[in-house]
Amino acid sequence: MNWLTLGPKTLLALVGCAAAVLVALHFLRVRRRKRTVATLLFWRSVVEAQRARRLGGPLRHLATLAWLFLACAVMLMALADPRPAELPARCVVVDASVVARGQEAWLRQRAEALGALEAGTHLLVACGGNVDCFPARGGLAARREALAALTGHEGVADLDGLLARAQALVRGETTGEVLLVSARAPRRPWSPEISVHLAPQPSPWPATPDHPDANGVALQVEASLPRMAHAFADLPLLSGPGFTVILREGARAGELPSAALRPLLMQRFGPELNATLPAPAAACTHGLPLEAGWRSALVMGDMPLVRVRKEETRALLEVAPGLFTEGSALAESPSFQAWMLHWILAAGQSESPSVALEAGSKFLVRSGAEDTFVAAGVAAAPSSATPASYALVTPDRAGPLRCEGRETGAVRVHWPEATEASSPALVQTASAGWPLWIWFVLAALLMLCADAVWHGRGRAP
Amino acid sequence: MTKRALFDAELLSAIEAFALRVRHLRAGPSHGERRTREAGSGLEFRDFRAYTEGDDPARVDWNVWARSGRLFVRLADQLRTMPLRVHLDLSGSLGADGGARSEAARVAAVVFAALGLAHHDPVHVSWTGANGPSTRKLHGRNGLLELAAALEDVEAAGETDLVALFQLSEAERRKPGVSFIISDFFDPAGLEPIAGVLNLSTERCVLVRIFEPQDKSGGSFAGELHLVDCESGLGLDADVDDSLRARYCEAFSRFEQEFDHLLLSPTRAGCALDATRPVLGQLEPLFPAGSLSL
Repeated sequence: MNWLTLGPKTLLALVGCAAAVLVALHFLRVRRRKRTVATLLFWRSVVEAQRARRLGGPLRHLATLAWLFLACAVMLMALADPRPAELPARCVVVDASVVARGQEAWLRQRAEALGALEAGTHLLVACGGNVDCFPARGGLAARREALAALTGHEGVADLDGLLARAQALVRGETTGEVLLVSARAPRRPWSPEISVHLAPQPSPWPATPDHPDANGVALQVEASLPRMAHAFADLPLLSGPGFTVILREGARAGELPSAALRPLLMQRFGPELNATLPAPAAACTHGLPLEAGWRSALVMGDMPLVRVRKEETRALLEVAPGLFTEGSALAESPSFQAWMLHWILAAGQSESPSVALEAGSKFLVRSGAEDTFVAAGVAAAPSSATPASYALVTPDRAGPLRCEGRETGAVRVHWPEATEASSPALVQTASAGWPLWIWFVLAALLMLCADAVWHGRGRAP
Repeated sequence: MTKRALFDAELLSAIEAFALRVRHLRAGPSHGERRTREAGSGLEFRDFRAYTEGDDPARVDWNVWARSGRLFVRLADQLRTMPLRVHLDLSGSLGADGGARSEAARVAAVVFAALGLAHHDPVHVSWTGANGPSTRKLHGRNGLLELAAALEDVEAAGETDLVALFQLSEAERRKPGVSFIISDFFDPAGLEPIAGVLNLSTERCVLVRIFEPQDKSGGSFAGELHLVDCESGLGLDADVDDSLRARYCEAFSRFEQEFDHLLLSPTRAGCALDATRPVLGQLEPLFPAGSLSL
């Protein structure tokens, strides 16, 4: 539930204040005006008869208070805009176009991992220009067969149209998400409901004249930061060729063997890993030494592309100046963008509560609408129950960002118009929960009930 | 209420138009102006009766003997006094809502006392109030002034107890006479106790019920109130609305019917006085053709 993004203590304080006000008002209402009469002889008989007829009798005031509490709770629910805790409607879209050739196994595995074979999940399989649709209530055997026969067909499916169709499938549900498993990213602006799972590329970005040594990319990680390294564990790009991970600890450095890379990283670094590091003398052959304060770096050849420095309160991610110029192939590469976003989120998930991006970070955001930035590829990021906050600093704007809904695979960040460095951002998450007016109507009905109980209209005289 | 208001000349002159007649009045010990059912030695001739042995020879009508040759005795009315007892309820309920009921009750007490004093009847007035029960025996015209002075300072307070009020002049009630009970009859015990006492008594009674229009309508207040009885101080939470007020009116109407039922006996009479209107005008129905016959 989204309780107005309030913490439990704040929420409890608010509820307590509301309850106190309610009780005070109730007792003010209950307090009666005194009226002296000549005799109670006739009043007593009729009042007793009235009480006997009235619903609730002597407990009427307590019943009214209970009704009011209930109405207050419903109003709070309405303000909090709760979401039903039900499984979201899901549609898995598998794009088996020609670009996915050679990666069918990954597509199949990823689609199954995302629940393509589970009941209640829609499945769209695009084989070239053909699209097979398996509705949520359909049989599982046909889906399993379709996934088993997955091959990279000739032709390229209209990815945007495919996503639009998938969104139409889940739109009628209370909550819905679209999971795209593909080797390419869609062109249309990212939608909050769409989560993109990109197939690992042979290289994070194609070789360009600007970057002749693109295949010689190494990730240097300070070995004393296991959580940081763990953050990269699920990175699909790590399994591609041309990538090396160099662990460093002080003057020692060592390259992780690719076979042991994934399981090792998944288990986090430990003392046993440090023992595997080569002697300091051998470390000179591996990458560049990390400068003081810098914990990890992505190095291409002898040039650090991106490096992370951990400070006391934040992790600073620095991008090489001029590397990602507007329109460059690297900046436009979706996989690299996704990967960078991983890095940022993972760094933010580490001990520091915030991540700052400095020069050249524009490529990390896609502009869906003005002042709305959609970051993609979060689904592959390591999940964590601890919410992390991120600060985005670009040359022209700065401000804190709050990201939520990472489990659903997409983060939509709304950046207010008058953004200042200190202004909090508002999170807009996709939701199709109960409309607000239903809650208010419910509250009004409860108020009417309380009023009816108060005036004893529960039973005909 | 001031003595001047109670001892008003206009009021006293208006009272002279009223008379109280009691049928079959038994002869009392004192000579007075009331005719009794027994023939006596008064001056007013009533009838002739044949002379029997033992009759007073002075009462023989010799003219009749001369014409008819038979002895007849002249019979005359026996005139006696008729004791009047006025029981005035000055409990807290009569002083409530501005005290209009209390004032009307005092005026009624003065009127009924004046009825007796005008015929030289002994009048006993008893009342309750803040100073407890009091009684006073009145004689002559000055008695009325004395009563007005006594009632002037009585503060209406205490609880209504009609039986106790009626029994205040228990000794006096052994003599034949007429009792006036002036009250709002808002006795917490209801009308049953006083009805029982009256049914056991052979005394002639006049019951005067004092009320205000708001007693009938239930007042103009509404809402959620804590009603407090002005006599006992007891409270009652009531949500006064139209429906409750309608039921109150029904309950008060039943009370009025119960009061009227008390008056069905031939030895009783009574009326209800609206405290917000002049008392004398409302007493006229009680004295048809200027006379109340009991």
